[in-house]
Amino acid sequence: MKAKLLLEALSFALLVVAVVLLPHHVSDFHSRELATVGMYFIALVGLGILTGYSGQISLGHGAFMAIGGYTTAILEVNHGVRDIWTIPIAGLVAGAAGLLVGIPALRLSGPYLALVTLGIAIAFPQLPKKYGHFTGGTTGEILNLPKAPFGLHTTPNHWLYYLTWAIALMLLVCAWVLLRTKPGRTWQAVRDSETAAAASGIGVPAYKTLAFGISAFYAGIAGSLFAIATSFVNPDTYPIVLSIFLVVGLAVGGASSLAGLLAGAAFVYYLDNHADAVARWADHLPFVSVNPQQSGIPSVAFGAVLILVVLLLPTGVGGLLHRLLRPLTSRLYSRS
Amino acid sequence: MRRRVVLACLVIAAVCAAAAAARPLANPGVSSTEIDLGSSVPLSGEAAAAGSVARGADAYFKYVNAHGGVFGRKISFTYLDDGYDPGRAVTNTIRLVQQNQVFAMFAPLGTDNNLAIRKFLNQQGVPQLFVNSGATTFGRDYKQYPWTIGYIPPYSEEGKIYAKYILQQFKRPKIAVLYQNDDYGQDLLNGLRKGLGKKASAIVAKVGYDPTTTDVQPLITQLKASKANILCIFAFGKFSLQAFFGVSGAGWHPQIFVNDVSAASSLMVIPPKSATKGAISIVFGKDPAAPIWANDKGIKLFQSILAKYGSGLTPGASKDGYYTAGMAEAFTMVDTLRKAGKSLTRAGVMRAATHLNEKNNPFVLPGIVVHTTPTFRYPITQVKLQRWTNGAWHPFGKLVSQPPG
Amino acid sequence: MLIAPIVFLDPNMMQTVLLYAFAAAVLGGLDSPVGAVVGGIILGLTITLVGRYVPYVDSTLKLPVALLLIIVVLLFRPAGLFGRVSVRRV
Repeated sequence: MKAKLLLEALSFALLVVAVVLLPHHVSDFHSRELATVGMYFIALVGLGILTGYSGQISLGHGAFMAIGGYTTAILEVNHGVRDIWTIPIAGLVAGAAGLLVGIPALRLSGPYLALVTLGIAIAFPQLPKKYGHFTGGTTGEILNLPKAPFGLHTTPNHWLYYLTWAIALMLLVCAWVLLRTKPGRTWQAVRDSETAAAASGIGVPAYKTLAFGISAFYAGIAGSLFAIATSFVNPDTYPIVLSIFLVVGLAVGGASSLAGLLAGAAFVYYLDNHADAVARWADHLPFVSVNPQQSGIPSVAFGAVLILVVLLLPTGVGGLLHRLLRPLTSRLYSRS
Repeated sequence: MRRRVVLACLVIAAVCAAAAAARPLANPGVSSTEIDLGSSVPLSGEAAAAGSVARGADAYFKYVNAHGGVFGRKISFTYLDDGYDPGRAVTNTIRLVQQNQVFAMFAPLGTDNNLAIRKFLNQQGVPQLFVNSGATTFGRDYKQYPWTIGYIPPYSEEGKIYAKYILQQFKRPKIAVLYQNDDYGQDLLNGLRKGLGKKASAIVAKVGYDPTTTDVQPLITQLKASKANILCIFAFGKFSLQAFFGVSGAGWHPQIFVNDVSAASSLMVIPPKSATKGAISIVFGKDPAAPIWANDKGIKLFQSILAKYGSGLTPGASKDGYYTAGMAEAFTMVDTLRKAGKSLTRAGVMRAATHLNEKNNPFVLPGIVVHTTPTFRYPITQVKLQRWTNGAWHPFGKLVSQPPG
Repeated sequence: MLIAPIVFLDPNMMQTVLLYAFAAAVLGGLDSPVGAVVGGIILGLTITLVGRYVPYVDSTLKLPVALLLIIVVLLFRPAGLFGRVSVRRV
């Protein structure tokens, strides 16, 4: 048991070192890209708690990101709040929304829950348009450009990077703590068999709703950071496909390992933003002829990869890594 | 476990400790052999037809490169797809400026898109040249955004021109307006109102729609109920098409004024003839599908450039007004680069762009002067009215202009 | 396919239609073809009438109304109007 803890601490330490050192070795623009990967990572950690641990599927987490992003936008534009202070508020508002969603979600499971959450993802973008007078409607809101506070001498991109990853690492630690203690075990019990869990005296509804709330909180923070990074929100900033991308990222990465979540986040970001590079690579495959200028490549690629992953790597990249490293780590665990 | 929390706090401290100031290049995007320009246009989605302006411009730049370039420098034009989404326009712009290190943004398309990227570009001191939007703010707010300049006739002017024409031609005008509920549509509507002046009550009905609506035809039925004899379609792309379908479906025959950005011949041929016949719009460029320019030197040049240097062309490109508009803008861009001189800087190119007096653009109507001063940033304000008859646009009358401000 | 001439053929055209279709199916009962037809009619009428005559709900809120309908039906009568109620053994 102790060896496992040591291993996890080691991987976390490695991550911290990497996070601190990377910006010095990549270009300014790449720091921004890595910052965006960090935002997806935060959202995926939250979604991993919900889907991977409490077993509830959600195809609507883009809506929680949107709630977070819009909270930041409204606070910043209409009330002049400084961007960093809006982040925790955005998370809390999104978390509250998640709790609200979690309540009716108790009555649904499996495909019904998936479809209702998809419905949320589709219907939600309409709300900012209706309440346009304080959300900016379709035109959206233009926020202030990100800038390091306290007169720190960093570029906006580096500032974004460190802000995002500092928050990501903090939230990762919190998630880790949650999952290793009672809530985590309870969620796993609920996921494995709800009836058995209820029979053992676990307050199943409370924990399931809590899972929704927490994952929404994470998504809200990610959404808020998105808004700060792009300095712009409108309903299209959080489209329906975002919710789908998140689920695909989770599936590809695998919900239960750090490396998997990182891989998932990187996958979502790079496929979405470097679709042309992907198309050019795909063009080299036999029997495949793809025009890199064509639009819609990310969606097609996501679909293809999702199918492949479900067929070949059901536990995702993280699961694959676990399997690969098992000969090494099993020796460590043999005592426990 | 406490160790992990402490570790996390150390990371936050690392935020304060880690500082790496990356200094931008002194003159990015310009080398002795190359000038890098960037743009963000819709190449997919419902506004994809308008993205052809970038393709037209690209063909023209290649033509210029083949003939010596600008002071020996070749123009390298990178245009990214934003699907008409301002959020993606922002990420494209950031990428073009910070990763591709472009010298300037040239003709990005879309009112909301350009509004979204304007702050960033001005903060970074990157020229936002010849914006593909007629929103009056791009020419008017130069004090706040000195690196931005528009190009196409401002929408408020277009609305005014329609208003003046209506007052001339109609004794008892009753105007219904369908407008897109954003800066673009509202700019047109306000121009119309201003142009009508005291007679603004002639607008008997107006309906705004959200750009993500699926269908505006029911709104046309609503407008017909107002018994107006004039309909203004201040709508974009597919909505303009739906409006025409709605008009023919409702059996209504008002005099239609359609916003010039949606009036490309390729779009006008789609709805039933009964709806589009007699529709009026304005035009500043030579529409390659209009019979009047069939033997025009400028249009012949346009078609030969497209044939030789065009890439990724959509079907019917040689008759597509969006391509010509793009080439017109590219012509002005090259003109500006030449004016900015051999030692090309961003400040220099802005100076050149605000001192234009271009009379020989072969892709705009004869007689139009592309004219700017540091305090008058509306390059094109002269237009002609045109009427759609027999499946083509026919410009009529003299050049008119109602410049804002 | 039949709706393409109205919303214009485009890779994203089905997303909103999808939600309406699902709402209609849930309303009518997922395992009943009669229910699907009836559900579709009821949904279409409700949304259009509510969108036109209830001042608060205008065209932008039509989708959320459909979603709300799905949630309400799934909460109180998961089987829909014409579906078969099934009992699950624990």
